[in-house]
Amino acid sequence: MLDRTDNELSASASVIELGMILVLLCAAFFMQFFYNELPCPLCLLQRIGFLGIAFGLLLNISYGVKPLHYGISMLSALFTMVVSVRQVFLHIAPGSGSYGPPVFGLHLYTWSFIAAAFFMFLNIALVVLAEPLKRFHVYHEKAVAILKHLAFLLLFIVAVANTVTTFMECGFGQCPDNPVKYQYTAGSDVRPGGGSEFQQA
Amino acid sequence: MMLLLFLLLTLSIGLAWFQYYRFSIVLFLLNLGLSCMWFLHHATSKLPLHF
Repeated sequence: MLDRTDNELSASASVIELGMILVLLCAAFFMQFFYNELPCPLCLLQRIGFLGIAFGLLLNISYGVKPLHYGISMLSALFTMVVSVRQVFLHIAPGSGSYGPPVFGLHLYTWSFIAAAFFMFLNIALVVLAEPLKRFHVYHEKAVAILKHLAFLLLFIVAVANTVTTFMECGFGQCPDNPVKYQYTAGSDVRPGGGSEFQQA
Repeated sequence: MMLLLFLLLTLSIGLAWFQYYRFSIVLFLLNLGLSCMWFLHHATSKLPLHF
Protein backbone atom coordinates (compact mmCIF):
# COMPACT_ATOMS: atom_id res chain seq x y z
CA MET A 1 0.00 0.00 0.00
CA LEU A 2 1.07 3.52 -0.59
CA ASP A 3 0.96 4.50 3.07
CA ARG A 4 3.77 2.02 3.70
CA THR A 5 6.16 3.57 1.21
CA ASP A 6 9.09 5.50 2.55
CA ASN A 7 9.54 7.55 -0.59
CA GLU A 8 6.53 9.77 -0.88
CA LEU A 9 7.76 12.19 -3.51
CA SER A 10 8.76 9.36 -5.86
CA ALA A 11 5.31 7.82 -5.43
CA SER A 12 3.69 11.18 -6.16
CA ALA A 13 5.88 11.54 -9.25
CA SER A 14 4.61 8.10 -10.32
CA VAL A 15 1.02 9.36 -10.00
CA ILE A 16 1.79 12.34 -12.24
CA GLU A 17 3.64 10.15 -14.76
CA LEU A 18 0.75 7.70 -14.79
CA GLY A 19 -1.66 10.55 -15.49
CA MET A 20 0.46 11.66 -18.43
CA ILE A 21 0.43 8.14 -19.90
CA LEU A 22 -3.34 7.90 -19.49
CA VAL A 23 -3.71 11.20 -21.37
CA LEU A 24 -1.43 9.83 -24.11
CA LEU A 25 -3.43 6.63 -24.48
CA CYS A 26 -6.71 8.57 -24.50
CA ALA A 27 -5.27 10.82 -27.23
CA ALA A 28 -4.52 7.67 -29.26
CA PHE A 29 -8.15 6.62 -28.82
CA PHE A 30 -9.28 10.09 -29.86
CA MET A 31 -7.26 9.77 -33.08
CA GLN A 32 -8.66 6.30 -33.64
CA PHE A 33 -12.32 7.17 -33.26
CA PHE A 34 -12.57 10.81 -34.32
CA TYR A 35 -10.11 10.71 -37.23
CA ASN A 36 -10.79 7.06 -38.14
CA GLU A 37 -7.13 6.18 -37.82
CA LEU A 38 -6.99 2.46 -37.16
CA PRO A 39 -3.84 1.46 -35.27
CA CYS A 40 -1.36 -0.70 -37.18
CA PRO A 41 0.32 -3.71 -35.47
CA LEU A 42 3.35 -1.61 -34.52
CA CYS A 43 1.06 1.11 -33.15
CA LEU A 44 -0.68 -1.53 -30.99
CA LEU A 45 2.71 -2.73 -29.74
CA GLN A 46 3.54 0.85 -28.77
CA ARG A 47 0.29 1.03 -26.81
CA ILE A 48 1.27 -2.19 -25.03
CA GLY A 49 4.61 -0.56 -24.20
CA PHE A 50 2.94 2.54 -22.74
CA LEU A 51 0.54 0.39 -20.73
CA GLY A 52 3.62 -1.48 -19.46
CA ILE A 53 5.25 1.78 -18.34
CA ALA A 54 2.01 2.66 -16.56
CA PHE A 55 1.86 -0.80 -14.97
CA GLY A 56 5.28 -0.33 -13.32
CA LEU A 57 4.23 3.08 -12.01
CA LEU A 58 0.96 1.64 -10.73
CA LEU A 59 2.94 -0.94 -8.73
CA ASN A 60 5.00 1.96 -7.33
CA ILE A 61 1.82 3.66 -6.20
CA SER A 62 0.18 0.55 -4.76
CA TYR A 63 3.03 -1.53 -3.33
CA GLY A 64 5.63 1.12 -2.55
CA VAL A 65 8.54 2.46 -4.57
CA LYS A 66 10.90 -0.40 -5.51
CA PRO A 67 13.65 -0.81 -8.11
CA LEU A 68 11.72 -3.77 -9.60
CA HIS A 69 8.79 -1.48 -10.44
CA TYR A 70 11.05 1.08 -12.06
CA GLY A 71 12.73 -1.81 -13.91
CA ILE A 72 9.36 -2.88 -15.35
CA SER A 73 8.65 0.69 -16.43
CA MET A 74 12.07 1.16 -17.99
CA LEU A 75 11.96 -2.19 -19.83
CA SER A 76 8.58 -1.21 -21.24
CA ALA A 77 9.88 2.25 -22.21
CA LEU A 78 12.85 0.64 -23.95
CA PHE A 79 10.51 -1.73 -25.78
CA THR A 80 8.31 1.20 -26.89
CA MET A 81 11.35 3.13 -28.09
CA VAL A 82 12.60 0.17 -30.15
CA VAL A 83 9.19 -0.43 -31.74
CA SER A 84 8.58 3.24 -32.53
CA VAL A 85 12.06 3.78 -33.94
CA ARG A 86 11.51 0.73 -36.16
CA GLN A 87 8.35 2.40 -37.49
CA VAL A 88 10.16 5.71 -37.94
CA PHE A 89 12.83 3.92 -40.00
CA LEU A 90 10.16 2.20 -42.13
CA HIS A 91 8.99 5.63 -43.28
CA ILE A 92 12.13 7.72 -43.04
CA ALA A 93 13.27 7.40 -46.65
CA PRO A 94 11.77 9.92 -49.12
CA GLY A 95 8.86 8.35 -50.99
CA SER A 96 8.29 5.66 -48.39
CA GLY A 97 5.02 7.28 -47.30
CA SER A 98 3.78 7.56 -43.76
CA TYR A 99 1.18 6.09 -41.45
CA GLY A 100 -1.51 8.47 -40.29
CA PRO A 101 -1.60 12.24 -40.35
CA PRO A 102 1.09 14.36 -38.65
CA VAL A 103 0.26 15.97 -35.31
CA PHE A 104 2.14 19.25 -34.68
CA GLY A 105 4.43 18.37 -37.58
CA LEU A 106 5.40 14.89 -36.42
CA HIS A 107 3.74 11.53 -36.94
CA LEU A 108 2.32 9.64 -33.98
CA TYR A 109 5.11 7.03 -34.01
CA THR A 110 7.70 9.82 -33.76
CA TRP A 111 5.81 11.34 -30.84
CA SER A 112 5.65 7.86 -29.36
CA PHE A 113 9.45 7.58 -29.50
CA ILE A 114 9.89 11.02 -27.92
CA ALA A 115 7.39 10.21 -25.15
CA ALA A 116 8.95 6.81 -24.40
CA ALA A 117 12.43 8.40 -24.24
CA PHE A 118 11.05 11.08 -21.91
CA PHE A 119 9.53 8.49 -19.55
CA MET A 120 12.74 6.46 -19.68
CA PHE A 121 14.88 9.43 -18.59
CA LEU A 122 12.31 10.54 -16.03
CA ASN A 123 12.37 7.08 -14.44
CA ILE A 124 16.17 7.02 -14.49
CA ALA A 125 16.18 10.42 -12.76
CA LEU A 126 13.72 9.18 -10.12
CA VAL A 127 15.85 6.10 -9.43
CA VAL A 128 19.05 8.16 -9.22
CA LEU A 129 17.39 10.71 -6.94
CA ALA A 130 15.54 8.14 -4.81
CA GLU A 131 17.60 8.77 -1.68
CA PRO A 132 17.47 12.60 -1.70
CA LEU A 133 13.73 12.52 -2.48
CA LYS A 134 13.04 10.54 0.69
CA ARG A 135 13.35 13.75 2.71
CA PHE A 136 10.18 15.25 1.25
CA HIS A 137 6.67 14.65 2.51
CA VAL A 138 4.12 15.79 0.04
CA TYR A 139 0.82 13.98 0.22
CA HIS A 140 -2.14 13.15 2.30
CA GLU A 141 -2.59 9.43 2.96
CA LYS A 142 -6.35 9.31 2.49
CA ALA A 143 -6.19 11.28 -0.74
CA VAL A 144 -3.56 8.96 -2.14
CA ALA A 145 -5.49 5.84 -1.09
CA ILE A 146 -8.40 7.10 -3.20
CA LEU A 147 -6.04 8.09 -5.98
CA LYS A 148 -4.55 4.60 -6.01
CA HIS A 149 -7.88 2.93 -6.68
CA LEU A 150 -8.77 5.61 -9.22
CA ALA A 151 -5.47 4.98 -11.04
CA PHE A 152 -6.12 1.22 -11.07
CA LEU A 153 -9.65 1.77 -12.33
CA LEU A 154 -8.64 4.16 -15.11
CA LEU A 155 -5.74 2.02 -16.31
CA PHE A 156 -7.91 -1.09 -16.20
CA ILE A 157 -10.60 0.65 -18.27
CA VAL A 158 -8.01 1.80 -20.83
CA ALA A 159 -6.54 -1.73 -21.03
CA VAL A 160 -9.99 -3.29 -21.47
CA ALA A 161 -10.91 -0.68 -24.09
CA ASN A 162 -7.70 -1.49 -25.98
CA THR A 163 -8.48 -5.21 -25.80
CA VAL A 164 -11.99 -4.66 -27.15
CA THR A 165 -10.89 -2.40 -30.01
CA THR A 166 -8.07 -4.81 -30.90
CA PHE A 167 -10.64 -7.59 -31.08
CA MET A 168 -12.87 -5.38 -33.25
CA GLU A 169 -9.96 -4.62 -35.55
CA CYS A 170 -8.10 -7.94 -35.74
CA GLY A 171 -10.45 -10.59 -34.39
CA PHE A 172 -8.63 -13.69 -33.21
CA GLY A 173 -6.14 -13.68 -36.07
CA GLN A 174 -3.21 -11.58 -37.18
CA CYS A 175 -3.78 -7.84 -37.47
CA PRO A 176 -3.46 -6.54 -41.03
CA ASP A 177 -0.35 -4.45 -41.75
CA ASN A 178 -2.43 -1.60 -43.10
CA PRO A 179 -5.89 -1.85 -41.53
CA VAL A 180 -8.71 0.08 -43.23
CA LYS A 181 -11.77 -1.35 -41.51
CA TYR A 182 -12.92 -3.08 -38.37
CA GLN A 183 -13.63 -6.77 -38.75
CA TYR A 184 -16.43 -6.80 -36.19
CA THR A 185 -18.55 -3.72 -36.86
CA ALA A 186 -21.50 -3.01 -39.12
CA GLY A 187 -19.61 -0.26 -40.99
CA SER A 188 -17.58 -0.66 -44.14
CA ASP A 189 -14.22 1.08 -44.75
CA VAL A 190 -13.75 3.57 -41.96
CA ARG A 191 -10.94 5.44 -43.64
CA PRO A 192 -12.03 6.77 -47.02
CA GLY A 193 -9.30 6.03 -49.52
CA GLY A 194 -7.42 4.07 -46.89
CA GLY A 195 -4.20 2.56 -48.08
CA SER A 196 -3.60 5.04 -50.88
CA GLU A 197 -1.16 7.17 -48.95
CA PHE A 198 -0.25 4.71 -46.28
CA GLN A 199 2.42 2.09 -46.45
CA GLN A 200 3.16 -1.03 -44.53
CA ALA A 201 3.52 -0.39 -40.81
CA MET B 1 -1.76 -12.72 -31.17
CA MET B 2 -2.22 -9.00 -30.47
CA LEU B 3 -5.49 -9.79 -28.73
CA LEU B 4 -3.68 -12.29 -26.49
CA LEU B 5 -1.08 -9.65 -25.57
CA PHE B 6 -3.75 -7.15 -24.56
CA LEU B 7 -5.65 -9.82 -22.64
CA LEU B 8 -2.51 -10.76 -20.69
CA LEU B 9 -1.82 -7.11 -19.93
CA THR B 10 -5.38 -6.47 -18.75
CA LEU B 11 -5.19 -9.58 -16.59
CA SER B 12 -1.89 -8.40 -15.07
CA ILE B 13 -3.40 -5.05 -14.11
CA GLY B 14 -6.50 -6.73 -12.70
CA LEU B 15 -4.43 -9.18 -10.64
CA ALA B 16 -2.24 -6.38 -9.28
CA TRP B 17 -5.39 -4.51 -8.29
CA PHE B 18 -6.63 -7.51 -6.32
CA GLN B 19 -3.29 -7.93 -4.51
CA TYR B 20 -1.91 -10.89 -6.52
CA TYR B 21 1.41 -9.07 -6.70
CA ARG B 22 3.86 -11.76 -7.81
CA PHE B 23 1.49 -13.46 -10.19
CA SER B 24 0.72 -10.15 -11.90
CA ILE B 25 4.44 -9.42 -12.36
CA VAL B 26 5.12 -12.89 -13.78
CA LEU B 27 2.19 -12.50 -16.16
CA PHE B 28 3.37 -9.05 -17.19
CA LEU B 29 6.91 -10.27 -17.90
CA LEU B 30 5.45 -13.12 -19.96
CA ASN B 31 3.44 -10.52 -21.88
CA LEU B 32 6.53 -8.38 -22.49
CA GLY B 33 8.51 -11.42 -23.65
CA LEU B 34 5.77 -12.43 -26.09
CA SER B 35 5.55 -8.83 -27.34
CA CYS B 36 9.31 -8.82 -28.01
CA MET B 37 9.04 -12.14 -29.86
CA TRP B 38 6.14 -10.86 -31.95
CA PHE B 39 8.07 -7.68 -32.73
CA LEU B 40 11.22 -9.57 -33.75
CA HIS B 41 9.12 -11.82 -35.98
CA HIS B 42 7.47 -8.78 -37.56
CA ALA B 43 10.77 -6.97 -38.02
CA THR B 44 12.65 -9.88 -39.58
CA SER B 45 10.07 -11.98 -41.41
CA LYS B 46 10.13 -9.87 -44.57
CA LEU B 47 13.88 -9.35 -44.73
CA PRO B 48 16.41 -11.70 -46.32
CA LEU B 49 18.27 -12.19 -43.06
CA HIS B 50 20.24 -15.29 -42.13
CA PHE B 51 21.24 -15.66 -38.51
